[in-house]
Amino acid sequence: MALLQISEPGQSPNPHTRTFVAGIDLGTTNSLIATVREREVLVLPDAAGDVLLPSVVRFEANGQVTVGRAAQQAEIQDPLNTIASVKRLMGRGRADVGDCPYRLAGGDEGMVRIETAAGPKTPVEVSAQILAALKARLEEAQGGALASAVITVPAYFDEAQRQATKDAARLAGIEVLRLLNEPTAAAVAYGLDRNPEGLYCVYDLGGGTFDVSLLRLSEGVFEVLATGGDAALGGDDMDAAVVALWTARGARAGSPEASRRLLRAARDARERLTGETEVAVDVAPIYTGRLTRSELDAAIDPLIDRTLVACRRVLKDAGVRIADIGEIVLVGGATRTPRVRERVGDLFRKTPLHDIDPDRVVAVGAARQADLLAGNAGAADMLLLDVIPLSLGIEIMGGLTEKIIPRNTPIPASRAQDFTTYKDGQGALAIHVVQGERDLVTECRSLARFELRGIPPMVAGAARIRVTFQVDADGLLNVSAREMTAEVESRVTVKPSFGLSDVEIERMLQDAMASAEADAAARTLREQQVEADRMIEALGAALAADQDLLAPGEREALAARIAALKEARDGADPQRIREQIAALDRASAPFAARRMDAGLERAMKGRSVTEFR
Amino acid sequence: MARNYFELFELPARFDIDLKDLAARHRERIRVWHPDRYAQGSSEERRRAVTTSADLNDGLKVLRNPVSRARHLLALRGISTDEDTDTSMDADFLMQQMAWRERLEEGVGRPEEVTALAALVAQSRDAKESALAGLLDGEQTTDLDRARELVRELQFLERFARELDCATGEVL
Repeated sequence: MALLQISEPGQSPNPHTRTFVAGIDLGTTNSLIATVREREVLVLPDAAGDVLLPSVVRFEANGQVTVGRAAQQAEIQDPLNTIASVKRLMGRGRADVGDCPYRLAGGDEGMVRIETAAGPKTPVEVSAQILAALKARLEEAQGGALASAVITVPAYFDEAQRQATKDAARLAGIEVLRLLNEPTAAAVAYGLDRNPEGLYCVYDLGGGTFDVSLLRLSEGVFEVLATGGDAALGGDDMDAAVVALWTARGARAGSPEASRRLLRAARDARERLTGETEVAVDVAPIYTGRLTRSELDAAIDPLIDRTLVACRRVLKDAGVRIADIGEIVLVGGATRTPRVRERVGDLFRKTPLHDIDPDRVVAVGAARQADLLAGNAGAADMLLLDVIPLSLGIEIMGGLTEKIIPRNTPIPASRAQDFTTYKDGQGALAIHVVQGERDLVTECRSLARFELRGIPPMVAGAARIRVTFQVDADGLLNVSAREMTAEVESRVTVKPSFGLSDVEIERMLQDAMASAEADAAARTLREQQVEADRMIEALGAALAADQDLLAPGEREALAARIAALKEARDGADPQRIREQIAALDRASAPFAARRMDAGLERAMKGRSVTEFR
Repeated sequence: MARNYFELFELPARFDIDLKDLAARHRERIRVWHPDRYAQGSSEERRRAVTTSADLNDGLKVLRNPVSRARHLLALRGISTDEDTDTSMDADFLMQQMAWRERLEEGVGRPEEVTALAALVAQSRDAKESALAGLLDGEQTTDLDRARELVRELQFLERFARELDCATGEVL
């Protein structure tokens, strides 16, 4: 199959083409791309001069995909096919997603899918569209190819969410140099510009996620001491709180469109209240009224409280007192809200830093780190040491979690633990990898299941199975299990249950590149194959069940037809499959008719005693 | 237990080590081995970078904490502390533990009481750690069974100290 070719950074297949590395902030509300040119970070704007690409993607029935401002403008007229805040759905299953303005598909297994006019889309595919748009922006502006990038993720993102982000990059044809935690990126942006030593607290309140991280900078080493936060808390929730206030005052949002308009008005009012103390709100006929700064403050205070609790917890985890904190860095558009600044300042008894635009600071840091990893930044001898945000463990007897790598362990990390069998002669061991802080497996995130087979027969408790976890610098996990006495080994790269398989990714890559025509042909072929399989299976079952109804020679004739259909099914011609299905259908019609008659007869007999008396 | 973390940091296998020196050695090595240094390297180089820096991080964690450091030293001498299977403890030590736990329960809500108890526990840990250093770092091989016992007692005390920490957190 045709895969996108990616050359080594700096080694373009065509020596006249320049390649670039970039930092990408893939945000809930907005996304940005930045690159370093002659030691200066350049946050790249679109043709209209805007650096923020709204993280909104619209899928139309004709296959047209729009990203950014244009998609955002279609949000109100076409709410179900215009996907915003998709980051919240990354690496999530159907059961994880509560209220959502889209039509969701997908059962209990696998990542949630969004039904659009252009078919079901995974959050990975939607994010890949955003990344591809940023890639195109850079390539147009710089006249070269984007070789690879550092992409930022919330520090609180779990394994499945990180893997989904990496998958999206792969789908967009971007090689990931490193997944970098957003707060770390922000500190990189400030640290490199000023270069003081000490403790930083990064308070990042974006559109949909809240992160707080404690970092120590000394001698060019950035060390993440602890992280915390809430993967589902942000400016969107503030908007929702404002809408709830208006609903209590009589606003009626009956349709998805109306609630979008209300949310849009809430965001607008919130932004205007940064400079004003009272604003007029006009969302006629749904709602008209006024909103004051103090009403807004009261509405969002409970949300700010949650962020401050997370801050205290992180300080406690790291064994750091508030007085030890040197600087507080504010990140994310929602930190422009005066009430947020005020209360963060109160907690830390210090005015937070905000002189780098809180919307750009993450992209700036990511670009610097990309430059460094590409080997371009000669002078800066900086190293980032990250920690794992959530504990990794496995399920043990009784549905309990045994933590193998605890939260806030520096990465890369590896840890081994021995387990044993609980039954005599047990030949296999099921290993269920989970992530989370709770003791019950059901309250943690399930990442993967695999089996270690071929354990030689032993009495219960005699086998010694060593399970090894290895986490790389991106926070992604590899697990292996090995029976030590017999040297049986089983190894998996954890593909989170909510992630996508390699096969799925390849299918998506293929889908993305094939023309619409080829796409349709592939679908037709697949449909005919499914139909053929269904028919072969049904007829096989019928032949086995009702051999006595077959006429002489009929079995052989049908078997020949089945073989012919099987052959066509394994080919690539949907028309041939269709013909063979029809032929088998005709050939088996008499047999099918006799089976129906016999079935009817049996049914009558069975009921005769009780009902036809 | 094949890996010797002391060798990884080029330190003598002793219980009494300088934690600042350990941290500096870790930093020096992680600077060289971190996967970010091999972002453009071959896949074999990257694999080695991940494994080595994971070992360095793990080694730092094991050696930084006195209980795991002592356990590691005993393991290097072929002695397992078996906390999971062997639960026998010195009777006097257990009595003292029970008495302290009662004091903690009674002391909840009285910060000065909890603080006094915490000081007592810290004192006991210091004493046991010095004893352990004497046994593990002594010239000739001495009573390793006693060292094993001390490690297990320290493990108990460490857990109790954490509970005390939480209790002080609550009253403050």
